[in-house]
Amino acid sequence: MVGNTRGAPDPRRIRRLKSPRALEVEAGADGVPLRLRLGGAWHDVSLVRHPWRIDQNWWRGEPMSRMYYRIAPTDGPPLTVYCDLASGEWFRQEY
Amino acid sequence: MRTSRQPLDAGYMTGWPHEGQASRLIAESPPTEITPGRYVELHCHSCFSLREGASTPLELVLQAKQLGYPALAVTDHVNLAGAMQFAQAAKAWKLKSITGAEITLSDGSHLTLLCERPCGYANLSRLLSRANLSSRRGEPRIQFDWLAEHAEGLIALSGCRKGEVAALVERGELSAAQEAASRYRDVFGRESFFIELQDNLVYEDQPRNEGLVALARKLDLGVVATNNVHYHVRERHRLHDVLVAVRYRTNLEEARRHLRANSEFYLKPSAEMERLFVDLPEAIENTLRIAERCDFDLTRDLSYVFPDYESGDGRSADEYLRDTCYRLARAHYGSPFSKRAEDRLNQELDLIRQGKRAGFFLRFWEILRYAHERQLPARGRGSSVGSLVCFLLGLSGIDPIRYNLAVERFLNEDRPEKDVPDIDIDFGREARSEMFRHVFKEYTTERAAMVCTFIEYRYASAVRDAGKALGLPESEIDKVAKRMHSRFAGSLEDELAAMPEFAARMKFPIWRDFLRLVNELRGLPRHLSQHSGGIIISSSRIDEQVPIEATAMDGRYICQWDKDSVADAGFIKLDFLGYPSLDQLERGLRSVQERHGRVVRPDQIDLADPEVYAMIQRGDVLGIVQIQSRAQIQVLLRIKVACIEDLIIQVALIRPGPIQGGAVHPYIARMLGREEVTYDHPSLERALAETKGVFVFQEQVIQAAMAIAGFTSGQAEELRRAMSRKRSREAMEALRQAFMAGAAANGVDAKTSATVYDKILAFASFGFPKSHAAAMAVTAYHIAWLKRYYPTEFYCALLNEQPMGFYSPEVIANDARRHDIEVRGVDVNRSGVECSIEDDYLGDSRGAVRLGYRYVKGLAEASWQRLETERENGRYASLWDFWRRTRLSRQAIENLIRVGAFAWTGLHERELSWQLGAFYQPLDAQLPLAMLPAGVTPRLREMSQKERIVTDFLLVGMAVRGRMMDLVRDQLHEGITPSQLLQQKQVGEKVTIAGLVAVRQAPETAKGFVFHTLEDDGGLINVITAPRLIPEYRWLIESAPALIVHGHIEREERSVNVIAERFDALPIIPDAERRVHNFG
Repeated sequence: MVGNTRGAPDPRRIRRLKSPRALEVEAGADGVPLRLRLGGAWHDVSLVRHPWRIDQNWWRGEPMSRMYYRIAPTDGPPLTVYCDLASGEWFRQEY
Repeated sequence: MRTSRQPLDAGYMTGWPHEGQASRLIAESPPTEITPGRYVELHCHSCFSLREGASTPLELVLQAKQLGYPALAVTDHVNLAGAMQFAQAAKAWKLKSITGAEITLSDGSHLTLLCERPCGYANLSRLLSRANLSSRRGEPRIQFDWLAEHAEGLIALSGCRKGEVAALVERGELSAAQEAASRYRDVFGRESFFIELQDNLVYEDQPRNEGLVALARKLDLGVVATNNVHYHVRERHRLHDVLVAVRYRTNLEEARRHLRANSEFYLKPSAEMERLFVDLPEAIENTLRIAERCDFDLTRDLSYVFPDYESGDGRSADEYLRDTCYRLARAHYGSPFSKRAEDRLNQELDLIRQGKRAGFFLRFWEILRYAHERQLPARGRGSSVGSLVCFLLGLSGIDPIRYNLAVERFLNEDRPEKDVPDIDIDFGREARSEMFRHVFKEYTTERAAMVCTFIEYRYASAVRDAGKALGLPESEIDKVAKRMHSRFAGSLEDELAAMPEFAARMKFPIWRDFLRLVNELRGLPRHLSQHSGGIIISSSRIDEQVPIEATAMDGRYICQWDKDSVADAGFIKLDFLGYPSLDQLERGLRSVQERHGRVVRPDQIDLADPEVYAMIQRGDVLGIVQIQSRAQIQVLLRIKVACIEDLIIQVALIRPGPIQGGAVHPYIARMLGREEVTYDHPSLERALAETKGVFVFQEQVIQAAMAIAGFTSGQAEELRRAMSRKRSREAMEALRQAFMAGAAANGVDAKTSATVYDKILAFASFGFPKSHAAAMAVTAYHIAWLKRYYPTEFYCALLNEQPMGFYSPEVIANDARRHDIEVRGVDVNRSGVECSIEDDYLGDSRGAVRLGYRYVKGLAEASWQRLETERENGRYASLWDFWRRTRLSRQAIENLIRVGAFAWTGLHERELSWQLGAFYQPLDAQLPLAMLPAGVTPRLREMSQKERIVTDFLLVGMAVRGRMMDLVRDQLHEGITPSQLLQQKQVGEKVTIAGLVAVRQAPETAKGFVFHTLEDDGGLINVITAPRLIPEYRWLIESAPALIVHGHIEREERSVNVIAERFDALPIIPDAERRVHNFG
């Protein structure tokens, strides 16, 4: 059964995405991450998924252009990072 | 190596790694650039995918060339509206064009179709037509079953993520996806159905593409990469987002879920596409293979053939045309007819034979015979009026021999096959509708269609749509849009800077975006509309040449191409134009017959009547088409138009061409004998003698180019055409060189030939051919004759034909009163639906016109017939009797009461309204018994005179029980000069005048000057305002419906103008602006 989508959402079921955290990344000329710094140490990484991009909110005066990568450090669990295409800064996005 | 904080460029891209392959990609050096040209975009939307595509066909073509594409497909959404424009642009830039469309099937899924062969184009066009005619308006859907009937010659790609196969794969319904792909394969064949892969770096793209590739492998189908292009460069993605928001009639925030995830839907370099599909090179290679297979060229392969003419007795169309023309010539001129006419007829018949156009003329003759047999008001216009064949066949109504009209502009001896004769026919409004019905009945919707036109975004509409999408405050957008709607508006940037409240906002990104988006939006097509009168007929199915769709008007169908695309396709277009002046004349002459028993046919009217010319010379021409404008009257008051030849020149003189070419003032001076008639070169005398040495007619450009540069008539006509269109500087310079070289070879010195060339160039854009001016002048004369001898019939007909786009009914009624014609208000016991003439006029009056119900606001068209029927049942005895018999709506009866239609009852408006309220019952209530309502009417205040004037104006469109000037009279002072006294003022004398604005003009040719025609009790006053006054008085100049003007007198012969120095407001009801006609 589908819930009443017109009613007010239940605040207990809404969850904020975790705020992105700045990250140090070294990328290749094509922009794909090669290494990242985790726990004070640099790790080689590999892509585990095709990257994806978003371009949104430009009409708010705060354009959001990001290239997302799902990467895996050697011997580590996969994580999602993105590059802010305007500033060139890298962030880790946790869900 | 890129450091973590290094900004990335806008074109940043990456390859397409799969899990397990990603490390290989990273380990390798970045992919090397691949030679441009290995990829062809096969799925691309132009701006003709309305509210979706954000780039024009030309922008796409230029970008594709820039990227080194060997070919490009444009696949607009369920239409081919931009296909010809794209194909022509591609051809001009030497890029192979592929015609196609993205179609929507009945389940809402998409499919990309490309035309491989001409039969594929015919099939696509028929599919789209069928969808348009059988679906809900604006949502054309194609049934899957139809595909099998129309698959030949088409290549199908499985579509974007909204394609049936892709959507099923994305939902994980793999067996259903396989079944769907198999169905398409069975319809189009294995070789002509490809699985379409799109990688726009959207999160879902990778798994969907993996699924699609697996499916293709399983079914042994080819795969092909496309980028679902919606704009030519990445920067245009914002405009695309705005268009999507416009489509959903909301702002970007609300439209968020409909927007594309990113800005990757642009024309990408081949190298980028190859990187995206690095593991699937065949997807890239197949784009080239498909492009090579698509051999259909829209600029070359259409199968259109104009229907030939079958004589039925074995004679060829040429023979039949010759015999018909000779028969008609003998009937008109008598037998034998003059050698001059015979030579001319033979010359034209030869040109028609060489051009293989006899069938065209005979078809047109056949169509027009329908109009002539029914005596529908019809008359030719344009260059065809110069043709004797057209005259004899009844296609023009003007004898070119009598008026000495040349045929070269119409039939060109150098290009008889290439040029399509352009025959335009004017009809009265009703007649035109009847002609459309006739043509569609004769040729059916399979063989005839009307030409469409694209309504483009202008500044005001772009401001509104972009502003709404960005969520800017409605009141502010409204303010900017209104400002941009102004005739004085400059660029949006300048106008915003000039508005103090907006100037500061330009530092905010959203307003900068607004500015840029509005400029990008301007000129893009907004919606498709019906062309004013173009209709194409074909011997083969029209819907195989171009998709057609139904219009809002029953029985009319339009094709998806505008007049330019239709011309590029080589279609022969018949132009049936609406010309209400013909109705005005016809209606007036019918009244003359009814009232005076005099039957007058237009062609029997004496064109040399001095009384008519005397009236024209007085400038008494309000209501006479072609010569009633302020500028025309000014010239009429300076020179004496004394014969039809003068009138023909007069009609053509006040046009942008002669004005820009500097012909007007020399012509007037030479007419007045103040300047000697001279020619820049003796050889020009033959061409320019009749217009005293200046260029007035288009034919004179041709004759001058032949005389000075030695051009053939065909070369000269090409020169004229080239000059009349926008050309590059290089193309214009090439033209100049050719002209100068020809002149030099002809022995004309460089200075003279340069002078003549410059005059021709200034003239060429907007001038009339003499043939057209002759047609217009003769109609103008006929109407002038009616005004001179039968003014009551003239004004009655004129009021019945409104709106005609010039003076408002109020101004016309005032002119009638100045001619001692009464204009009487609506009276339920005397009015019909139309205005009528009454013979019980009083004292000094020369006639009386009773306004018809059509003038009363709030009376629905459906009620007119009821009123006409009830009128035949005798007078109404009372308001109650009227209501009982007509059962009109309460609002309609209230309006009739308020405009005085029941004044004969002896009760005033408020008493009548009270009565109505006492007995009125809605239509579905029980019918009233035949008895008067009971009750006593209380004492109610009568409406004041001013209230009655305002009511008349608001409900009838003119002041009937008084004058609009009465509303401002108490603001006028003794220092104001009435219009009748201005003639007595000296040049330079200071005056103050006041009046209501009748016409407001700021023509482009006037270099920023503004012209007002004010009206006071005595007549019209011309006011000229210099550009320097506009900043200070902009609102008054641009918007005020009434003005007090302080200025001085300027006089040229009998033409008097007031040169404005300053303005004062003359407050009046805002609705009075409705009586103003604004012109560009």
